[in-house]
Amino acid sequence: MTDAWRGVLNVLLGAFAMAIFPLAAVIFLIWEARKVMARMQDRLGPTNAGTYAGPFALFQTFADAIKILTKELIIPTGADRGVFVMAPVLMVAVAIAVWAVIPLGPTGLQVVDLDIGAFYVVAISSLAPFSMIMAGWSSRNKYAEVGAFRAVSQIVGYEIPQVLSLLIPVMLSGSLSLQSIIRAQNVPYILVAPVAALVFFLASAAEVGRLPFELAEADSEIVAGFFTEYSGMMFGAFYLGEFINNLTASVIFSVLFLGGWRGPWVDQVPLLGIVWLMLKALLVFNVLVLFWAAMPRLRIDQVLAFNWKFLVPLGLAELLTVALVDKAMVTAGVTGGIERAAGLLAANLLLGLAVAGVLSQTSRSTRQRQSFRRPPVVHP
Amino acid sequence: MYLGQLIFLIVGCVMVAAAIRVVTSHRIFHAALWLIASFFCVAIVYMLLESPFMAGIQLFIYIGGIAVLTVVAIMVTKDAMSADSRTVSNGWSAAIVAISLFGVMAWTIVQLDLPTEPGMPVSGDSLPLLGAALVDPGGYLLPFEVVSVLLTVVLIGALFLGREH
Amino acid sequence: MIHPYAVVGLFLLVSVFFGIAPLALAWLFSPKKANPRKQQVYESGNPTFGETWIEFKAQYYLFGLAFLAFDVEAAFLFPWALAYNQLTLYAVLEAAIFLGILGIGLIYVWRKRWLEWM
Repeated sequence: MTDAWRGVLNVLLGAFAMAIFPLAAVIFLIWEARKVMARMQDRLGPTNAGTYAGPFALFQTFADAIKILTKELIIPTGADRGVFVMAPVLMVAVAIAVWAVIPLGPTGLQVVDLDIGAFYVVAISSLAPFSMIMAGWSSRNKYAEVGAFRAVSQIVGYEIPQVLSLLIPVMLSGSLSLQSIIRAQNVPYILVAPVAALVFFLASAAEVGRLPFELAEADSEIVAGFFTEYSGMMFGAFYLGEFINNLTASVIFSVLFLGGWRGPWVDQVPLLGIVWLMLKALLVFNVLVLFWAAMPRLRIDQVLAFNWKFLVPLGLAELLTVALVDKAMVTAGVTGGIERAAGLLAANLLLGLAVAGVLSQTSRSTRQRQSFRRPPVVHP
Repeated sequence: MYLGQLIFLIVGCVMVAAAIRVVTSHRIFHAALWLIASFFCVAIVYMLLESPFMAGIQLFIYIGGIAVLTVVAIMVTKDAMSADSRTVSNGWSAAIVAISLFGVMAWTIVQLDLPTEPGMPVSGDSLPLLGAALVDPGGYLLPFEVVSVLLTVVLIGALFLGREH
Repeated sequence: MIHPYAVVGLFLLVSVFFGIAPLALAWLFSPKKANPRKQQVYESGNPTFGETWIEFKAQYYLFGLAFLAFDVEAAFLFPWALAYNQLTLYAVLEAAIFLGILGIGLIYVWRKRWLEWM
């Protein structure tokens, strides 16, 4: 065996390990999300009531996975069979492909440290809407088609604020490589540009399509949206892909704004990086889970208005503020890392305050306008 | 490099096959999906040329933007969505136009005296240089700002068409 | 040493494998007893009515077009953001104008109430 083939084999083994990582993590996260949501809704969640499924029913998800493998794969009449089967494959493949550049630790714990890593993440995840369009179109089901349209207009639109706020860590660190972005975060960027972190978080929450942005699969309106017609493991693939996307969004947020794998003792024990990164990602993921359990579903007009009238302008304003304030400070001679971070934090807080003021003003005037329209009370 | 050429050959064949399927598919939705496959192959060719940013642009704008729009445009069009739409009504004249266009372009490219050396010698990462050149008054500042005006026209025009009639 | 882009290519192949593997496993284990009744389209228990592949609301397309404008803008901003640390205040101001023109366009359509969903 030559060295080249041994290298290919090494890469393939690493790639397999890295691709299995999100799958394994998701098996646990599904259980965790179900437990947390159950507690929020005053239920117990998965328990050992029927048969034993491990302590706290930890292995419930394994049981579900094995069960779903034995279910029939039904393709409805009239469906476009090829496209119908390709859609779930694409969903899972795209969800996993993003993990090529995610750094789990300082060295070695990454498949490849691409010099355009952040852009790779954005570019690959822009393929995701296609699996939804393909699923919605090929099912030949009216619910599925409505779901596909909702998914596309939402996911595509929220890419804009996501990219705009992703540019801020890139600007501050001067690199697109996720590893370099982490290494540049002596102060986590959530403390330098909290508004950008907020915009990125909200946009990611909309991209992964869970409540309150869940209207693409709104189960009380359009059954299951674009994957209404899917059964068995094909349904499972969509479910899995969605959970991987949630985990990926949490991990990317942790990498860009929470310092990624950085934490105490990482220099001595690089493997600790995984622990720190996953703890941070778990924190973000649980905020998403709390959203699912606590939020009502938005309508399509509200989703679009929230994007075009709030997140996009805020993203543009934040980008302008950070770029101009930071450059003005450097030009004025403030070059220390801490001083720059403090100045940017102050600018961000001012921007946040201004936005909060404008929001409360608008909502007050809207309320007043609506109270004028209220029909007069008729006394009997 | 032998392996690179092999990959290029395979990718090129897939690209051409996908492009042919674009014009021969009976369902226009399939044609759009083949178009995406063809775009993806172009992205791989950019990777082979060691230009990952262009590959990313290919995915981000051509697939994530233009192809999505194409598919949505198909889905909001009445005739295109009926179950078995013949996409080609006058195939021969279209073929003549396409082949003559291809001929003109190929002839122009062959005639052009393309430089074999890179115009700007670059050591290391070229992307920051591109970024700096975009906002450099001696570089591409004017086109850069004109792009913004063009995009604004697109934005206003699109939403103008969508207003209440 | 393998080229990083080749590694990305291999990883893409692996991720497609992981997309296909669960479906292949399920295909092995699952029963295959199709019948017309089972394969009916599910539309809340009612028999399906009329044609499904019909034209849809054109506004989805127009919002997509608006998205494309910002998408292209974002693509231009990536190299600029990467070069940010080497730029002068003047160069940053130029990019601010670039952003500002589109921002004004957004404010214009907002004031004209063309952003409303109908």
